[in-house]
Amino acid sequence: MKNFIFILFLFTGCRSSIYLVVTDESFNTEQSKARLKKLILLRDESFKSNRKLAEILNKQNWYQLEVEQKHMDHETSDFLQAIRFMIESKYDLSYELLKGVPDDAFECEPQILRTDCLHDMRRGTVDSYYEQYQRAADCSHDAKIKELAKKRFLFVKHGY
Amino acid sequence: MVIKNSIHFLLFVAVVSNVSCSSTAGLYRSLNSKNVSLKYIYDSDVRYQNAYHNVTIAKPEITDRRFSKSGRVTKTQAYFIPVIVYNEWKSIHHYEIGESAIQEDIPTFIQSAFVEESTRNGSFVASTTALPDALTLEIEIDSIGATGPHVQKGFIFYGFFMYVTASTEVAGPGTAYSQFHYRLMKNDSILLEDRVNSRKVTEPLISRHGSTKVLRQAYTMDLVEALSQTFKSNIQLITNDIGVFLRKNENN
Repeated sequence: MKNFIFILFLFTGCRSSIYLVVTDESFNTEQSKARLKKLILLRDESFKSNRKLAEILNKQNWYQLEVEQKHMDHETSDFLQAIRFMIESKYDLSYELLKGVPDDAFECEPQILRTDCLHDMRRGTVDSYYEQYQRAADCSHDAKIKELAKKRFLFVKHGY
Repeated sequence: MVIKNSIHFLLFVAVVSNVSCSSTAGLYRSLNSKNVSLKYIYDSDVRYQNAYHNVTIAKPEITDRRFSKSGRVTKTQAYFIPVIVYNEWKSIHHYEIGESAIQEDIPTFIQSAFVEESTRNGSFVASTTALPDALTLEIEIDSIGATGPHVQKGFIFYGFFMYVTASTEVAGPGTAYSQFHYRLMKNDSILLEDRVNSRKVTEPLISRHGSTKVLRQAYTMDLVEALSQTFKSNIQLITNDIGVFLRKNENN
């Protein structure tokens, strides 16, 4: 029984998310490596210490994230909080937060993440997700964000 | 590597026999168990400009007769070594996708993708229905296909109380290709004619003791996805060519 509880603890404690936070530096490597992961990009231009933040989010070190958030503007803090909720599979909370982030902020990435939330909550159709990912790709000037939109549509299309 | 008690030996031999002798028809069924959409995210620049020319996009015709409706799986190599203490097997199949692996009707999909691409390009107004004073774009798909190898191999080595085995399934790398022959017409005269082609290669997929069903479905997805990307590339090239041609001849 003790063993069973220990194994159960290991499974719940180490549950890995389908979302993986990357930086411009690690984007290409992770894109080719992590076929079944949804990448979230913290762009060099939008975040000063993006490598540190990516590590905090991927390790789910929420105490450290809260410490970092205290020194951020409201918009950046909300965006990171929304990413945290996505990693925790709290898609409804994330969606509500992302609705408050402007469409064109962070090179239009919030539009992709909002659509991810809707897809993960099964609120919408393949066509509606397609339109929203296409809008995000058209809105962004960053090639990596466009690439994210394309990859996300593959998830929707192939029903991962 | 798997090492287990010989109690399971007979059962295991039955499984190995089943895997090593799996039929070409069975492989075909699992590769074609799901059809895939060609739909893709457009990444060309969206330009807003006043277009003066109307172009009717005629429904493309697939003239490549090698591209079949149902696709094909052909065994190219197979062997089984049935030595007393050692068995080894390998089979190589060649897989070609057909229309049945694709959700959409290909000509209709390409026609509507042309309209979308030209709307984004902004050099001309495209439509699938005849527009007044419109030029006509005719497209023949000269060459189309997505193919690649599928390899299953493994071995079993056994003694009195134990056995050692390993098996691997590899799908790809596959290649998707398409060539479009296009003609821009004004009444019966050809204004512009050319051929464009594109080729994309998929990453190989490897499964060791994993789900072969998932691997095979992913292989078909990758091949259709690569084919869709060749369409996208050809459509972008043709749309740009027509845009350049129309701008050059704006005063005529």
